Amino acid sequence: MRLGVKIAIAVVLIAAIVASIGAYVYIQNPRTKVNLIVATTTSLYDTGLEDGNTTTSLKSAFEAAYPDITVSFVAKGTGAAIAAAQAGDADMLLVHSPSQEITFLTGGFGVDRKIIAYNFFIIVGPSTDPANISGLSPTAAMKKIYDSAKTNTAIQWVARNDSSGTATKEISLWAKAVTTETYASFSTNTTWFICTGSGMGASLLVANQKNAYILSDLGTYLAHKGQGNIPQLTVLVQSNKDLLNVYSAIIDNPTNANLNSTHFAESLAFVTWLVSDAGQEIIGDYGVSTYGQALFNPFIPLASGSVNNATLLGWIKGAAYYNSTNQLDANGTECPSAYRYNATELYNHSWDTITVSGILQPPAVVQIGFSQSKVSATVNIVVKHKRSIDP
Amino acid sequence: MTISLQLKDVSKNFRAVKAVDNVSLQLFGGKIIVLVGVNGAGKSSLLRVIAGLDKPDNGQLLFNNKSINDKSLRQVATLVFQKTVMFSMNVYDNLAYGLRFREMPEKEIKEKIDAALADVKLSGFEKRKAKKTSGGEQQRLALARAFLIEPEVLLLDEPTANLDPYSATIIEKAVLARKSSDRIIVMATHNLNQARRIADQVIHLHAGRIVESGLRQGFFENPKNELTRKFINGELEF
Amino acid sequence: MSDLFLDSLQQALNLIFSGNPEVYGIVYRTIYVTGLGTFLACLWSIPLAILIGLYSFKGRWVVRGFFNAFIGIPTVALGLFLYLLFSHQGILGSLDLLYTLNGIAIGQAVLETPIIVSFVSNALGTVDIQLRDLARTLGASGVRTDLAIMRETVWSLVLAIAAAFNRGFGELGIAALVGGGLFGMTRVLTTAITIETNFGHFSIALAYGIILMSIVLAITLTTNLVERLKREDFTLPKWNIRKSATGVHNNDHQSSA
Repeated sequence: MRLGVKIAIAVVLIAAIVASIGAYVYIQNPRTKVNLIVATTTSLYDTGLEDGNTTTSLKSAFEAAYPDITVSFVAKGTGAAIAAAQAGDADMLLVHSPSQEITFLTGGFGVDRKIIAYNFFIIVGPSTDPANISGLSPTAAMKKIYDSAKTNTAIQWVARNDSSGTATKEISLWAKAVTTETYASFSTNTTWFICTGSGMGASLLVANQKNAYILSDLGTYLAHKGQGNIPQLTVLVQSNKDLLNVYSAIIDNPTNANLNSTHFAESLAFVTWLVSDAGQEIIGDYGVSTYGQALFNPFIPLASGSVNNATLLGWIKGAAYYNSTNQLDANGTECPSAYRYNATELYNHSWDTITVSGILQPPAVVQIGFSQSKVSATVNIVVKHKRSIDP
Repeated sequence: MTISLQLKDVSKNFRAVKAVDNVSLQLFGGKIIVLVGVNGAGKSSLLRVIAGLDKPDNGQLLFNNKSINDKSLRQVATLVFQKTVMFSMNVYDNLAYGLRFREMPEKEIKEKIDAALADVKLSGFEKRKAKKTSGGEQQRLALARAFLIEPEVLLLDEPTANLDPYSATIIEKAVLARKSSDRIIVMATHNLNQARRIADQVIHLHAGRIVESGLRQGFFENPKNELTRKFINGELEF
Repeated sequence: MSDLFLDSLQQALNLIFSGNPEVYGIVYRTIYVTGLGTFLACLWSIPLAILIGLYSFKGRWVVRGFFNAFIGIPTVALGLFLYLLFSHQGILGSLDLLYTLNGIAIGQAVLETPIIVSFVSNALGTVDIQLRDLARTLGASGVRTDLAIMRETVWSLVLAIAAAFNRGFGELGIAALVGGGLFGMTRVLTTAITIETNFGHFSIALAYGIILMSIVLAITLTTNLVERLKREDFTLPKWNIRKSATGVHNNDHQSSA
């Protein structure tokens, strides 16, 4: 039948074309490698550090060192990124929201948290600075904006309000700055407060358009500033304890029944690399050639003392360390032992002290390290806390 | 062997209207049976039922004394519509349509189409777009198309209505030429002169029922039914 | 602003001709994903369209309305729905379709289904009803009859498929939420535009946009041109008038509309 034959030929032809394209695409990305999926926040992703550039990015450097692993980044708001990891759609997290991170750990979803890097949020605004906040502390600046905005229509504030790490930080700062009215109140009932619900880049563009003030992370600001996208904005408030922004990696908990399809080994390899000299160097160099300054500060040199700044280290610990009751505590640790799994190498640094007052919390898995130099230390732990230890 | 088609108490309703009302009749090959009646009498409906295009609501059809359903009926009967329908193809493909899925080799198809076109005096029309031919040409093509599949039951619904005399003559001649004992021909017409010319048997339909049926001579010269008499005299409106 | 546009145009040409494997990868991936999606959509949409267009059944108007409405479904809504379905916590989580090209393809197939079903069933409905009886009375079976009717509107079919393909080609929601825009793996043109915009690389983003629209335009113009040529009431004008042996012009052809 002629029509039928024609249809059949057309169908086969189309299928062949599509299939050959598929084959080509497949050859480009063979599935023999493990594909590690990192859920990350848009503000971190949009700086390009993770995979934006083929030479200076984390992806290119890591994959060169580990050719059997492909690392892919899925960028969402912090809330969505954490949800993705909780669902098992991502293998690990790379985010900057300590308050949400501890919940991820205590909920049994994550293990082996490591602080990777830090930088500072900045408050940027129009160079005319109608509220006159340049050089003030962040809370003083925000209070001034709040007070003057009612009378000066030139003063506007743009907020992301999208449950991202930046938004969380911003809300906590507002709580400190303005005590007479709730954030929920003045963020919704005013004409000077603009909520975008969007990512950092998009929000910066809005602030630029409206000549408004905005809290931003340094990386996104510099990236857009360098591209010439936000000519109206300039840095007004920076480098303050309250503006600290700490980036951490957390691996999906492989012992969690819903997450046993995630790639723990590869995630561990990536995190180990991130805190290695090689990884920390990539992080520390990022942006220097393009923007004239580094966008991130590697954490390990600061933590180990090779960069000497006890005050700054104290700030970071206060902002991102937890104690045994899972509260933020400078005397705590970046990852309580209850949430460490199979990762002795990650935590066997001299500065990593597990200050657990008393007993190991179940379900604790303390791995006995195999490196010669550490045998005595681990033996001590076994002797002192003879309780529910898996051999 | 003379073929036969029998209808037993066949009825067909279209939305509460009895288009075919308890019709029983016997059709035999070798004859041309002409259906006459006013508009809306049910000629087209009856033809459609005989063609197997509509399933009767009641009654039975028997082909060569064996019960037959509409699907099988469509394989042996074909209807040439009053308003011609052509596929959006050229003339050749239109004519070849029925032959192609009967898996006839292309060579044979070409021979047959050549002959069929010659028959209706349309040789050379193969490449023309079928829908672009004139009314008379289309009807002749529709006839040729029907002839090509060599149906045992050939049904024609007012095939020469509104046609030029030339086309009408060709069609009548072609139909007459197709008379044979292994073929039943039923034709509906308004044209009583045409009926007088070619019919062997005439059936008068009115309101879905058979009012009178008879051989041509007796039907016209001596109609038994009052309605029929009126109809022949042109006094019956509807 | 005109600088930005000219810059983008230049970027677009650079990207196309630079031989940059990332760019080619993105383009091929987009074609593969939407091609596969359209193919799948046709597999179930065309039979559905035949059913709705040619067979009457109780409640057909509701089904018709349903497909008509979903033509305009926001891709981000559909993308979210599919994300929840394909997530490891979702019903189809075990199929591992999240963050894969095949996942996007399936999503786009769903997106394109209402377009194909609505357009094709409408086109089939415009075909003369008598044509069905014609095919039947010539002895054609049910399927053959449907095919004959489809053949009458075959170019509507082609245009519907092209329209569906274009919709899938330029959609963002599914590619973003189901695909994730993973570099070198699931990034397609639309997600590339978003991501480059987020990086602040506006010129590159616009350049990808130009590439995308160029492909869509090429497909649309080509199918429209071929349809015009094949239309029964359109014939190519004769470029030179041929005289037959007897010196009479061959005037079978009409000039174009």
